[in-house]
Parts: sequence; C-alpha cells; structure tokens
Amino acid sequence: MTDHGDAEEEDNEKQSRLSPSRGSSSAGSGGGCQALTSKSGDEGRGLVDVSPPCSDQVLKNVIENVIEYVLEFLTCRRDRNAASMVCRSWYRAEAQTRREIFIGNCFAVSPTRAVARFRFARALVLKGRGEWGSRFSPWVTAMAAPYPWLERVCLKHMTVSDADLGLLARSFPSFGDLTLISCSGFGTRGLADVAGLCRLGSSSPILPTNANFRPVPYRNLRVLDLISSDVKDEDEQVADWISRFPETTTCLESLSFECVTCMINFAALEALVTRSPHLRCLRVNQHVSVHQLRRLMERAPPQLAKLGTGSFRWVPAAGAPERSLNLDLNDFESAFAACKSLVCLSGFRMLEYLHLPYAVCSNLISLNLMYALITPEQLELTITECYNLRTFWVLETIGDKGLKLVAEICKDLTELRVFPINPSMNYYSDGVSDSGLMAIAEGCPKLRTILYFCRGMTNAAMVTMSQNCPDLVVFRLWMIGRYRPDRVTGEPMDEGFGAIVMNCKKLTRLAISGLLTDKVFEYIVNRGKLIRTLSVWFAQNTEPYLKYVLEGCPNLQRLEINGSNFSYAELLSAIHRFYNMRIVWLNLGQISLRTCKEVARRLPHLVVMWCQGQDIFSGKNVYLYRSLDKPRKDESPVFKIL
Amino acid sequence: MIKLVSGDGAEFEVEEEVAFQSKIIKDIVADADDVIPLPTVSSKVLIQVIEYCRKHAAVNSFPLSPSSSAAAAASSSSSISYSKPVSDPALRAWDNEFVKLNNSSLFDIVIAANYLDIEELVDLVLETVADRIKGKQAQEIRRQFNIENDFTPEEEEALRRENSWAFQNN
Repeated sequence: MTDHGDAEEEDNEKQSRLSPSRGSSSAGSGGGCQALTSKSGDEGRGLVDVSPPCSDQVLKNVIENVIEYVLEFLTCRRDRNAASMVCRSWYRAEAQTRREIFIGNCFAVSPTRAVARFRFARALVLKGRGEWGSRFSPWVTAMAAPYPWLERVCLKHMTVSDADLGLLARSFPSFGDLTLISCSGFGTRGLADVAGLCRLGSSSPILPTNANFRPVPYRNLRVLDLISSDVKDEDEQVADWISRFPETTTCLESLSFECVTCMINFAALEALVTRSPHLRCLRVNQHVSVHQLRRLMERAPPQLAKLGTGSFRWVPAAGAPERSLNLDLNDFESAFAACKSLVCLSGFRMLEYLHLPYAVCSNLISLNLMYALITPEQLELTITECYNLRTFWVLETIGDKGLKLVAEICKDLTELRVFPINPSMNYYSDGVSDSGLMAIAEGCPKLRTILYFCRGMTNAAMVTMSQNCPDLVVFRLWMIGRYRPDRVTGEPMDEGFGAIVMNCKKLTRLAISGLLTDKVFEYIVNRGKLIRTLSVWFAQNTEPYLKYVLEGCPNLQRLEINGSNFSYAELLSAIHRFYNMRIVWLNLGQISLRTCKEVARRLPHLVVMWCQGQDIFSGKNVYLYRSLDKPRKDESPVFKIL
Repeated sequence: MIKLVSGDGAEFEVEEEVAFQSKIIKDIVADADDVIPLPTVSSKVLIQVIEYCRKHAAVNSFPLSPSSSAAAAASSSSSISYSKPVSDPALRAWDNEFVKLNNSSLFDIVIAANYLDIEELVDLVLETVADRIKGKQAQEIRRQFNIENDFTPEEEEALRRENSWAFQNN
C-alpha cells in the first residue's frame, strides 16, 4: 500500500470508502453499489493485514486512510485546529473536510490563503470592522472560482457592495443562505440580485467533479436575514427586490429585513409569503402597517415561529369609520392566535394597541421591544402572561418599575438587554438603575447574559447579582455619563465588578464603566481567568494596568478601552502580548502617532490602524490586530495604516 | 444458516438475519452459496463483528438494506426506514459498551465493517474515534494514536500561528 500510494489511488480510495456523513447528508442511496465495486480494490491493495494484531506500520496506514472520515464527525473549530496540527496527512485530511470557515477578523488572513487551505468549504462566517475598510469584495472574488459548493455566508461588520451581492448570487449555484449583521454599503439592487438569481432553474455552471464531494442539488434561497444593517438607496434607485423572488413556490425559510429603511412592494411580499410554505421566520420593516401584518399572518404557514411585526402602527383604512377599530383589533387577535408556533416576537415601533392573546404570550421565548418607547404600564398589558420568556430586549423607558414586573413574571429569563433611548427620539425617561438590576438579580437566577445601560448603579446591586446569578457568561454594564460613582455611597464601582468576576465563574465577556480605580483591574486580573472580551469605559488609572490585564488574563482575545490615558512607556511595556490578541481597540486622549508608529515598527505582523477625530468621542482611535499577510495597502481619509 | 470463514480459517455459523446486516454478504448469498470466505477478516475481528450484527439483527427486525434485490419486495413500503442506533437508547447504550476497545481494535473493526459494508458499524466506530480526538491538543492526539509528528518545528509554529490568528473562534 505504501509502495504505490499515488494520487490516482488516493482518489480511488475516496470513492471506494463508505461515506459516513456524506451518505446521510446529500449523497443519497447510490453509494451502495459504489462501495461494493470498490471492495475488491481494497482487498487487492492489501489495506488490511490479515494477521492480528496490527503492526504499527499497518495501523498508521489505516489511520491515514480512515482519518478523513473520522474528521467528518468533528465539528468544533478548536478540535479541528488541533487535528490539523497532528501531522501532514491529518493536516490535508482536515483541510479537505472543513465545511465551515470561520474568520473572526477579516484582516488576519488573506482570502486567497484561506481558500487555498480549505478547498471544500460550504459556509463562510466572516467578521470585520465596517468603518475600517473591511470589504467583502476581495473575499467573494477569491471564492467565486474555487468554491462552487458554497451554500452559506454570514457577515458581520463588513462593507458589502451591490456588485458583491450580484457576484455572490451568480457565482455559487448551491448558494441559499445569506445573513448580513451590522453590514453596510449595499442597497435594494443588490438584494434584488440575491432574490432573483437564487432561484430554481437558472443556469448553473458545470461543477468540477471531485470524488470527495457531491454537490448538493441546486436550490432556492432559503435564508435572507438582514440584521441591524444599513440598507440605503437614493429614492430613484430603490429596486423592487421582493418582486424578484421566484414566482413559483419558494424554499424560503427565513426572511428578515427590519433594517431596510425604504418602502417595499407589499403586494409582492404578500404573494411571496403565500407561496413560501416553509417559512419559519419573517421579520418585516417599519413600512408594513398593522393591517398589512394581519394579512401576512393569515397567509403565513402554521409553523411560523419568529415574527418581526414592522411598525405596529395603526393606520385606519381610508374612509373607514372610527369605530371599526375594535373590530379590527378582534381580527388581529385572532390572526395572532392562529400562529400557534410563534415563539419569537420583535418589531413594534408602537405598542398602544398591543394586547396579545394569552395563547401567544405563554409560548413566547423571545420578545424584542427595542424600538418601542414602552412605559411600565404598557408593559404590564403585554408581559403578564409571558412567563416562558428566555430572552427580553427593551428600551430603558421600561424603568425600574417595568424591570420589577419582568423579574416577577419571567423566572426563566437567561438574556436581558436594556438599551438607552436614542436622543433623536426626543423622549424623556428616567431610565433604569440599581433597583431594577436588584429586582432582576433576585427574580431571574438563570440569567446568563445581561447588557444594561443605566443612569445610576450601586455596588450592592451588582454584588447581589453576582451571588444570585452564578451562570452569568456576559456582563456588560454601561453607566450613562462619565466617572459615575456608587449612587448611594459615592464610592467607586470597583467592588461591584469585582464581585461579578469573583462569583460568576463562567464569565467570558465583561464591560465595565463608571468611576473605577486600579482596584478593579486587580480583581479582573486575579479572578477573571476566563475572560475573552473586556471593554473599559473611562477608567481613571494611575498604574500601568494595560500590561497587568494583558498578562493576567490568559484567555483575553479582545480588549476595548475608551477614554483612558496611556503613556508611551505603558503601551510599549505591553507590546509582547499584542500578538496573542485578536483585536485591541484604544480610544485615547494623549497617545501620539509616534508611539503607535514605534509599536508598528517593533511588531511586523501587527497592523496598527490610526484614526483621529472620527469617533463619537473625537479622540484618537488606535486599532491593533495581528495579520498573517502583508500589511494592507489601502488607506482612506478615515484611517491610516502605520 | 450461513457459514462465514475468517482469514485464519475459523468457521462461524450464523443466522441469515445476522449475516445480512452486511450488505455485501447479502448480495453474495443472493447469487451464490452459503459458505462465505472472508479472507481479509481475522477470526478475532469477525467474532466482534458477529457480536455486533447479532445484537443489531435482534433489534432491527426487518432487513437492513432495502436497495438490494433479494428481500426488497417484502418491505417495499418502508423501504427507507431502517432503525438507526440513535433512535433506540438501549441499543445506543449497548453500542457504547461495544466500542470500549483500544484504538487498534477499533481500526480493525472499521476496516472489516467497511469491507462487509455494515454502514451503521462504520459510522459507530468513526464517531467513537472522533470522540477520542475531541478536546485534545495535537500532542495528546499523537500520543494516543501513536503518530509521528512529521512537521518541522518551523512549520509547526507557522501552522499554530495560522490556526490561532485566523481560524480560531476566540
């Protein structure tokens, strides 16, 4: 076997093997015959030594032949990375079988390098920093030829152009799943290409044949999720993208466009929903009225589980008498009641008329009210029956009173996010404070994730939360206003954050703010060994804590520091740790261009991006990341690469 | 009854439904006789494979391979549904006990199961080996499977860097 293991035989080997996971996913039943004909091949080549036990050499050969099929069962990236480092043959096998490429920083590696290593990927997950030139363009261009099997793309904080979307739609015949989170740069014309070209029956290029891969049957767009992305067009350029979906029955499972600000063709949307029997998630934008929503709900298939409601604004039909409102409301409640599978609700720009049927409320697992200026009184109407909620997003207008209600009812809550109101909303609110946090701490012991924008806080409330919610993985507390001390005692906030890092043993993400001293960093360094992401807003430091934190938190991958002053010496003292970090972002007052240039000079694989006065705090922004490839050449008026 | 003859000459008489867990045996029996030589399978391994097939034949009461010609007609209506081990917790537990073997025995079995075309057993062993890789560093995996590291130190360092800089999730 070892004597003549040439390339041709390797291919033959691949074909002949039983295909464990391919068999179940896409290959179908034809494999049986293939496997049979090949058996003699195996035999003839003496793959197995008849005499037991296996000698080392034979075992080695066996492992080399089997490992590719073993690796099909290995999905975790960490395990895959470890397997790739075992030896050369494992490296090749792993590269051939990795189906999802995940890249946490799009600048860390060039697209050509990623594509050259993983030849058979079907999914790409890519993250960038949109405003710093993270363009999708080179990626989609690099993948177009070698990746005909690409099925799924998920991008976060990337700049995506209409042309990129067009290329995506044209180049990948199996493509059917696009998620864009916090992306920008594209408009409805790009969406029209995705909707229009991802349809059954359009010409598909001839796929290269490879024994190790069976192309999936060509299919329709299944997922188009646009989440918190900036989708804009000049008025005259708006495309009627929803009309571009195939006119036949679709495979659409998820369609989200809450963030698309332009008008949509409602008739086309209604027709699309009607011919999408697999739809499980539908999130429409603010131009869909309550009336229209009702029509969509009546046409949606019964398994619809996630619904984004659009404006939820009541626009009485033209000419309808005022008193028809109540009748409409009844209709509306029955439409809701018909959606028996509904578990996630979002949208809601207005909530005046919201009174959800009990049947819906008690099923709800996720409720997102982050666009609604909701008062505690309005909340009471909605939430009383939502006792199964796991995830709840809301604006600070809910107040401490509203949070107490949530704490009383939602005993299984695992994720809470309280957002500040946008000043442009022109609305006054006292916001939430320590008493709301205290109530949640006492009422929701299963909490795992919290994001909390507040206007006042006490150490005591945080200590209570740390004791009652030991499962916390993410704790992000932003105090609105700088250097805010404990609302009651006037002391710094160190002890509260210290308790969180000490008592919440699973914590991986922490954001701290308010009046902080060096003590809080001591706590983090001594206790926060699992922390991967740390954000610091406006700490007043005297000691060189940057170095402490970088050295003391072995798992730290991402550090964001806003509004602190580092000396030249301090930045350089931490320099040896920068290669261990995925991203360091510093928004600083005093740091000089010269210092940053020095850092860039000393660490050739570190890219230092410099940007002045563009941030909301108009400080100097420095963004440091490691990169396997040569520093980027591109520059823009916004940033400079040192 | 069907007689299986291992590579080292041992003979094993097994019931049809046990032997038919192997698609290839089923096909051979369909056009030939009832004594089947299996020259590449040792008796030690064959005993283990038969043990597996016996157990699974008892649980899967109908023929495993709907596509092969012999018995397809009888169960044509349920042609796609043969029970997977996962669907039966008791059988799954039995499988888990069955694969508590050292690596070299496992590889012997997967080769034999592949040769005999017993898909469920192939999957079971491959998944078991994958489970033994999970959560381990490269060095531990090498030790466990007795694999020589054929990277140069420079290559290994470059690869470690590439993995952690570009393709890790944290």
